[in-house]
Amino acid sequence: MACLDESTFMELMLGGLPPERAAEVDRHLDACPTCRRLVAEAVRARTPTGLAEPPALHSPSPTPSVEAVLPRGTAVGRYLVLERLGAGGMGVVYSAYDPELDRRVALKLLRVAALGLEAEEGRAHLLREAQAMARVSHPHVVSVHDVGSFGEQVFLAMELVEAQTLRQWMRAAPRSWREVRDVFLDAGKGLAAAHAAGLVHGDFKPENLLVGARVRVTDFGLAHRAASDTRRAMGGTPAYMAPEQFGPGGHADARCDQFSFCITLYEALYGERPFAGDTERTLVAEMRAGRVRPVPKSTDVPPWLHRLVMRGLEVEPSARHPSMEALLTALQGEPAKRRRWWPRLGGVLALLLSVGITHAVATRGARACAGAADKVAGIWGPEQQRAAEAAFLATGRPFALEAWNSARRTLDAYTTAWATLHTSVCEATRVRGEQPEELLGRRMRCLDQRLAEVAALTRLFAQADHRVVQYAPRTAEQLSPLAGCSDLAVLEAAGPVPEDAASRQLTEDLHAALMEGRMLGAAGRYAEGAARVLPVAEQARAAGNRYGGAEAFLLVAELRDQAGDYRGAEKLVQEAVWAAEASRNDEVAVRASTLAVRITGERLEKYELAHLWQERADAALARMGGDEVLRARLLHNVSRVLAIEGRYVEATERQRQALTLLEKNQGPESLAVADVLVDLGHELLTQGQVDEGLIHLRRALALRERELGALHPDSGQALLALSSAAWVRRDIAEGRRLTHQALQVLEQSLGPDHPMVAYALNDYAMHLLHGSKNDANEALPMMLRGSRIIQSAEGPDSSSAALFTSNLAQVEMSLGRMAEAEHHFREAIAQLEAKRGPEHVTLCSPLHGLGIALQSQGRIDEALPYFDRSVSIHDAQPGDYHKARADLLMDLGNGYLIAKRPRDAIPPLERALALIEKSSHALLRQRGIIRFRLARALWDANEERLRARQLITEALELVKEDRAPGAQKYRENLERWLAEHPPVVAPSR
Amino acid sequence: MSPGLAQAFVAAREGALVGEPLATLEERLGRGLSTARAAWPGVDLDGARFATHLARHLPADSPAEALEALHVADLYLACACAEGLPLAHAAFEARVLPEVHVAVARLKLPPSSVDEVRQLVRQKMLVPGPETPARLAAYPGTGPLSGWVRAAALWIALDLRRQRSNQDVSMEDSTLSLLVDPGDDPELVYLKTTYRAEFNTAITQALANLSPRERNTLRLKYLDGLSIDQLGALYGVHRATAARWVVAAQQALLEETRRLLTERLRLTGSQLDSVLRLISSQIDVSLSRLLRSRID
Repeated sequence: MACLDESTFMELMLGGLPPERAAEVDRHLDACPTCRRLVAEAVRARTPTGLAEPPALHSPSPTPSVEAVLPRGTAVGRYLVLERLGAGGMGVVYSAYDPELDRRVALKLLRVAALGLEAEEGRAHLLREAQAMARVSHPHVVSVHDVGSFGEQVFLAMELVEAQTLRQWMRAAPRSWREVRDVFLDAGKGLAAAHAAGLVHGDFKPENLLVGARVRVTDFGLAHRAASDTRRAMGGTPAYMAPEQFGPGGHADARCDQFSFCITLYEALYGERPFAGDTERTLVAEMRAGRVRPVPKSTDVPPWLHRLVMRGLEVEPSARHPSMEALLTALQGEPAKRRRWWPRLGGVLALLLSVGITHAVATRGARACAGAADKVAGIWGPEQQRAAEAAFLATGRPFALEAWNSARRTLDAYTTAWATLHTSVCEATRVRGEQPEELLGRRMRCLDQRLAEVAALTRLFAQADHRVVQYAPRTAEQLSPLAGCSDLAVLEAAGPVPEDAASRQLTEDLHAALMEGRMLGAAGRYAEGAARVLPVAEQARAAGNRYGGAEAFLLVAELRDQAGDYRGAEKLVQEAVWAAEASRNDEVAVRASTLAVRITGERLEKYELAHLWQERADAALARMGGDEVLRARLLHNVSRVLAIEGRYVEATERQRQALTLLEKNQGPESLAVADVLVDLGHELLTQGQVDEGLIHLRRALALRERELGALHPDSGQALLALSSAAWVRRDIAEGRRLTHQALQVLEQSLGPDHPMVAYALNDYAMHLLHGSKNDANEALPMMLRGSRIIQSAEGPDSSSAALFTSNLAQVEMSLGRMAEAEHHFREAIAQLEAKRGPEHVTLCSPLHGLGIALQSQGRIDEALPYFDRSVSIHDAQPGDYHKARADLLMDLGNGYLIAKRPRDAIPPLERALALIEKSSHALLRQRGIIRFRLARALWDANEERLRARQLITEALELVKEDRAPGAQKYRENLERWLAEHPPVVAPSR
Repeated sequence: MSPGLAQAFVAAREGALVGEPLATLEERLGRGLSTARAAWPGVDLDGARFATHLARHLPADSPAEALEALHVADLYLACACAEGLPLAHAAFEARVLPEVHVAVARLKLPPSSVDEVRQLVRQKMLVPGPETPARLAAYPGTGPLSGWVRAAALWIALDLRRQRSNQDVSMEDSTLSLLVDPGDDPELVYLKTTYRAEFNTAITQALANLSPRERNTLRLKYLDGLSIDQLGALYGVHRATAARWVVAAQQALLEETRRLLTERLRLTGSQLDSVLRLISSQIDVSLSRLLRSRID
């Protein structure tokens, strides 16, 4: 595309560019720096974001101007204007509402023009100064919460103080010198704190001193930018300015503030200002001459106080008090009567000292930054490591040593990276002076929080029980990434650090609760964790902090989910999504919706709802500009739901996408990759794609055994998954071996009553069914035990319980207990139909089983519809679910044979034969049986009798070498059939 | 109320359906017309002409209901100006043209240039060409007229400036390689001098391997100094999203550099790790320096 033209530019600026055009523009800007600069300049020149679109022309208000009163509800930054409180030379003050923190603030709009500065420059200055003000946090200084620009103006969002100005206070009642002195002591402390932070007030006067519950100084550091003539224009005589501030080049410093402070104090004590003069010229002349008015006769102000004020009014700055602190010390009165206030000024004192020794710090800077390793050693040192290792081994878990090694490796790497980052961030400020202190502060706070996570984790490890040990490797992997602490943009996106102590405290409480909650979760103390975090989440919601509240609600939902309280989890995860969406916390919105997919779809089996949550998650992902790991997690959860729904093709496709994303982002060896591999492999098996499934499952097992140890329950689970591959291949011996091993690992690591153990029992029992009658006897108590575990863990109405019931019936059937089997099959069918609908693929097995049970009781006519239904459900699947199709078809055909309907038996048996011939995993025996059945059907139906004999001959050939018990009898059966059905009978047609 | 507003509207739609009875449409147009006239007293545009104008600005597949979303009063003024009504020109001059100053205020143009821009906007907006109507006829009414004129003014001002200056831009992307600047770290400086060629090739290559949007995001942020908010505004996304984009682009650049270096340097795993750790801890420090040097 050619360079930007007017219409493209307009669309870009007005936001009407369709996505495909936007991509085109992106490509052009990429190649054409001139156009890109032009766009950048336009964006910078345009009214900044946060400013509401100025009212359209037909609205009653005229073009907004600086002087116009902002209507109620106007958005200034994130604040909404409520009412105008007043105006001064510098700008207009409104009361406003801060929806994010649900509080009222004072909003001061400053006119850049009033300061006589060129617009852009002036704005930048003001912003810098205002940001400096925002850093001063002191009880006697009005807090500045936030700073921003609003069109041409700069705004300050400040604490809204209900108070009088000093002038109003003085007029309201006669004040004793002691009252006045106390007010000024407080005000002076505020001023001193600002000076210590390198900030000058520059315009101290009675209007800028607020007297209420507390004395506070306001309007710091802005006015002194103004040239004196502008200031005069702004409001009367500059009666409170120091003489050196007048004239060209005059600027304010701490000594000027002292002078202004003393004029104000003088006025408060004596009721009039010290210097006479109505014009600037006469006023300055009086000041320079040091001609202070005579003190009114009636005064009771003590002489020491008078002397102190006079010293502050010296023309020569160096003749005044050396500092505000010195003045304040003197202001206390005679030493004997001094109240102790130094201790309360600890912060100021420390700041002063640090200013004093700047030089020393700078030269010793490199060493000042060398403490990172010590910090780490205090938290993850040899002592802590020994304690943790001992605790791990004391659990006696077979996988404890591996888990310890894996967690230790992760923590070692994390703390090493932490120390490196800490040092380099510190040096960038302290040694090389490359970043401002404020940025350093943010980064250090971030790093401190990360180290606090490590500390919490080591405390947890030192008291490890078996649950902690089991999840230790994963818990260690979940430490917050360090990258967030060095990234400017991430820190910037987190928004401003709350300036007032109360909201900062809330934020810190929230953070602490989140960390503890995570640790309790890692220790398996889910209910306790949820109880710890929930009140803080609700507190955050009440305080209007939806951004942080979302994270907290999400954590509670996670903990409840892990505790098995799915309904409670569902409610809270909704809460988390709402809060996250309302506060545009897109990352939490994605994570919460992703969890909601699992809770609704997998836990509560509400599939449609799960897919709605998936859409919410997708939308949030799009809003945040995508995140590959979060997308992978979403895909993984959605895929599991799809697999439960029986939508295997879609499920596998998503698992593959998730796998690619995770391999790229977390590395091909990560545990997250192994999780997806297990599910993907399992889903492929159920679709009959055995070879590929096997590859994934073997890889998952190897990964988990390496990372977690062979005796870890997750390795056991991978073994179990692998055993189902053997099952599908009809490799019964291998299947028995694997399921038995898995059962041992899981029972040892999880205890006898864990649901995973139930699954292992089930799988082992199913393999036993293929052995002798004795094996089936052994299987029955296992199935009963598994069934009990699952019913109590997942509820008697769950689909899992139904599947166990169905398998229990299989065992009963192989023990010849047909009536019991029939009953259990029917129960399982009803339950699955209710949970998953009448077409669900998991119904195939109990339907087929019920057919067999009925057939064995001689009720073939009742059995046939069940065989038929199991086949048609299976046929509706895109793949060969569990490779069971041939078996189902064979049994349907056999049913027809028994019912003496050979003609009906032919089509299913033909299909079964074709399938079996194609399969590489079919058993020899099976290939024989299908031939025998088809041959009988063909013969009895009087169709292709030659082919029927041919099939029997083939079957005989297949089992010629079979030495297995029963093979001989089978051969004899076949031979007898051939004898009884001689070829002499001419084929029909 | 002028009669036949609906007829004029339907005629101008050239057969496109309006989706409601004529009487309803007539009433709707009448309402719009009186709102518009009340906003611009004295500007007396013929009702049927206005209806025709509205019809042209409504997409063919939109029902007449969509008229409610348009800034009708602003469209009325724009149409009246394009028709050359003197009182409309006066109103435009008084109420809309001041927007030019708002638009270009931050470009720090000398007063003479502001006047020039203002004159160009006036001419372009109000004066028809030999073949074409006055530009105001094209105002779509989807946003306020003030915003539309501001954007147009901004374009004119920037275009003017572009024509008059010749910026040398050939070297600028090499500045982005400062993203992996070694700073004062002696170890990195050593590595960088030792492997200078490889570093440079890797970074250049890594930059080239990013997507256009990723490169633009980085340049707009670090070369052009846009804030996260401004980036978000440009792309119409939330600041958090814009921030993510920047982080993602940075990370992509870093990872790609890392990958290419791994290929080229054949360092052992731990050597490479220490180099890369240094680079990552360095990256934003370099960014802020880069940023600062541009402001100074």
